[in-house]
Amino acid sequence: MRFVKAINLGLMATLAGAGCNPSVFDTELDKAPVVAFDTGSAPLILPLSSPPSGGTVAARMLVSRKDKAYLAIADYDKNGKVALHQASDSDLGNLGNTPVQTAAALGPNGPFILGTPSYGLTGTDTAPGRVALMTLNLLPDGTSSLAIQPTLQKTEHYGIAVAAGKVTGDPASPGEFVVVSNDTVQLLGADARTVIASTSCPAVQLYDPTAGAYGYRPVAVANFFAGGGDEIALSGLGHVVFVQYDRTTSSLVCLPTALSQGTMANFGTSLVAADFDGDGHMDLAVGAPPDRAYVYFGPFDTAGDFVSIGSPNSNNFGKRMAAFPKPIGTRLMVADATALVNGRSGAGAVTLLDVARGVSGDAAAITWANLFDSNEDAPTGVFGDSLGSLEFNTQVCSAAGGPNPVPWATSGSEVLTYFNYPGSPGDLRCSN
Amino acid sequence: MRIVSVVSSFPLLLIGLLSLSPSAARAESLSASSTPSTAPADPVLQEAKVAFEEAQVLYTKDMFEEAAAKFMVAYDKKPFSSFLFNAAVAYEKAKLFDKAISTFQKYIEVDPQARDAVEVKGRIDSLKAVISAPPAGQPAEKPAQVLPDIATKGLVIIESKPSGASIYLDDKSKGVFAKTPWQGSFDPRPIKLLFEAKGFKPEEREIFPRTDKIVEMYISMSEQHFLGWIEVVSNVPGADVYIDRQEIGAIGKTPYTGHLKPGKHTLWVQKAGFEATRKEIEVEPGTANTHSMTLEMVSYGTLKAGGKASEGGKLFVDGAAACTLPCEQQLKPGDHALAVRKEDMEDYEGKLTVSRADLTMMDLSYSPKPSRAKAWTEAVFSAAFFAGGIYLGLKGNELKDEIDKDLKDPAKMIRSNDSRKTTGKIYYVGADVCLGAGIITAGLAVWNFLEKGPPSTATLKTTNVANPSGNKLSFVPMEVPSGAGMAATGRF
Repeated sequence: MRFVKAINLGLMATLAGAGCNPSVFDTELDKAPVVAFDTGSAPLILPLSSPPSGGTVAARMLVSRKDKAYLAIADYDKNGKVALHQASDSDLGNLGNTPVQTAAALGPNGPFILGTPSYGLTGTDTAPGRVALMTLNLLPDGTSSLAIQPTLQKTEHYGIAVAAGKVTGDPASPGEFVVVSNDTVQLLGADARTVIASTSCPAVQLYDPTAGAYGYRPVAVANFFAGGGDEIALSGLGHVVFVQYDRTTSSLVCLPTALSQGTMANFGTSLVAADFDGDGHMDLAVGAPPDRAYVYFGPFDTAGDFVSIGSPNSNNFGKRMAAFPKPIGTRLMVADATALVNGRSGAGAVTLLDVARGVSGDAAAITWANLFDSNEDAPTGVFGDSLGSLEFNTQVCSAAGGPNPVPWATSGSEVLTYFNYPGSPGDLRCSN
Repeated sequence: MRIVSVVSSFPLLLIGLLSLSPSAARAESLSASSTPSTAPADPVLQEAKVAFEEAQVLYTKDMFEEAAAKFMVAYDKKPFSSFLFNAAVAYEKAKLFDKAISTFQKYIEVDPQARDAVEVKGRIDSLKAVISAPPAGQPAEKPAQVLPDIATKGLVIIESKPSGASIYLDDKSKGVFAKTPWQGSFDPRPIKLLFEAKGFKPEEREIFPRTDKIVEMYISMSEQHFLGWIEVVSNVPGADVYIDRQEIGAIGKTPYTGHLKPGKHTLWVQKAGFEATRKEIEVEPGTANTHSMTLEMVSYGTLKAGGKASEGGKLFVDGAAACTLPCEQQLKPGDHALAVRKEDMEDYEGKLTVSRADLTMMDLSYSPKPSRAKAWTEAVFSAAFFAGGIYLGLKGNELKDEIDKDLKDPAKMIRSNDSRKTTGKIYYVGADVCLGAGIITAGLAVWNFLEKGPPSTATLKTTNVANPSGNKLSFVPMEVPSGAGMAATGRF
């Protein structure tokens, strides 16, 4: 009888060893070109610069959720796998347990300004809104932690849009934060408390009732005019205006220069500042959904020109845009959340476009790559609601490597990072 | 175990035992030959006898008419024909010829076979002639007839037990004279009578008939001596005794006494634990013989295998098939390995040490083998689990291959958390669970297929039938050439 027992146990062990190992799907999909992780709801992503070489973290991004108070650092390892490090409850308490709607960073690793425009909302009241300053503490093991300090309440829907840059042009200053409320643009110091200047440009109505109290407020900060400091590009109803800091008066000035394409109401739905043509001057891409995007080439204090990129038959082309670096110049990322992909209507796509001066026309003609979500389970119309470029540091694999841009886009509650796609330079992950 | 016999002589004791034996007493009564001849009392006959004797007295006094009347009285009491004859003679002597004639005629009518019937008829004719003679002074047609003298008869009454016995006179040369009961008259001389009846010893008597007396004789005949008497003893008391036919069962146990028909007989004496002994004997009628039988202890032991509902089991002794239960098996003295096997029952295995004349009773109780229904159920479940596991595994493999194919397709950008990943894991986990369950149930099935129940048990109870009482002495009556004695047997 003992012999039979031994036979049984041996047989069970043999069959168990030869059984189906569910982890093979993990192993198999470790090679998937797209790394996905779920944040639980529509995420707000703020890409951070890659951690120092020698660590185990190859890339990092700040992740928030628009439905609840949530902040986390998403650390990518050298194989692209993501580990989420959530902010502490006390940090979230400093945010009033309010969802972070907007964020901007001074420099590659902060400090950060977090906009919580719904802070203080009770019932049907209009929210006073707040912004908070967050710093990133890098730890010896390569991980990081967050430290958040609240700022004072300002005006209605304060923090509905935020940006960061060197608006004052003060070489001694690490930079300033731009905070937008219903109809005010305010310039804060690096501590996110000191109000340097503020203004309301009459020609620009920042508040868009049709987009809701917390509608997207495009704002971009860059050195558009080749001056000493950065300018603030604000998008209003059908046009884009610029705000400049006047050092002599220490105030914000609304510049007469404005961008528009006639009566196109959706012009300016999104703004992206980058040197698309690689001439050393910042350019400004302006989204005009449903089927068009414009790229205005800087500097804007001279007679600038622009190109128009169209995407016929699109419904959301230009609604969201981002910049994607390339060795020389920058590619424009344009999302079309309802694009037809592989026969699936409404699947959504993000197109990486090679923008060049004087080349207007169909986006397909200048498309470098198309990103999409192959998971047909994802809901339609959500792909590319947020998109951007992740800096993936391949030096964690070999010293000869270096940071490389990796495109990412959201699909509903998920963040998709494209390590390999048609036209890409190849999979950057160390395992490959 | 060893049996030792000691023989001692006790002649007086044996004789005493024999004399006190009921069988011996019975034998003596059967061998006796004398039979008392006592006639049963008959008062009427006695009255007739008195009347007859009174008539004879009157007759001798020449009071013939009164004598005739008394003879008729005796006849009325007992209708013996001799009484009529004597009455007729007396009437003749009294010159009452008419009455004499009528009485003689009645005599012939009553006893037409009478030996003197012819003479009596002639007497009647003579008397009638006398009556018809002419009176005195008238010439007679024929000279007057002279009547011879005549006398009265005696009476002999013979009865026997059993009735119907043949009566011979003097010897058997003349054949049977008559059958009992008989009554009649003889001449007054000594007569020897022989009596014979089938199955009875012949008898002989002598009588002295008289004319003036009634002689009564009653004889009870004794049965013939045709049985012999035997006594059977053995060195082992209580042995069964069989005569001629064993199939009808033992007629007794030693020591045994009884009667047998004369002739040759076969005598068996046997007892459990001993070899049966046979002896041919011859019985002489009316004799007594003692037969001493010596029983030898058997050279084997006996195993009686059985038990409640033990039928059908096969008994194996030392690995060899022996018999089918219930059964009896002889075993050589020594150690033996026993086993009983029966379908659907667990085996019984045991050991038995056998001595000569041991009788071992095996009371077997089977233990049923566990039901295999559970094992079959588990086997079916195991097969189902394996089938399910294989199916799920194949589905998982199919999905894995599909993912692998898609991963190699540059046009497809598969997510690391592709929904098929979860599905595939579910397939594989399901397959593993099913395979695991299949393995477990298969193991259980194998276990239950091979599982044995508690072994069948048996109670072995051994007794030595040659000496069931153990080390006790026993005494057995024996007959030896020098006389009778007692045999003492003991077990040590």
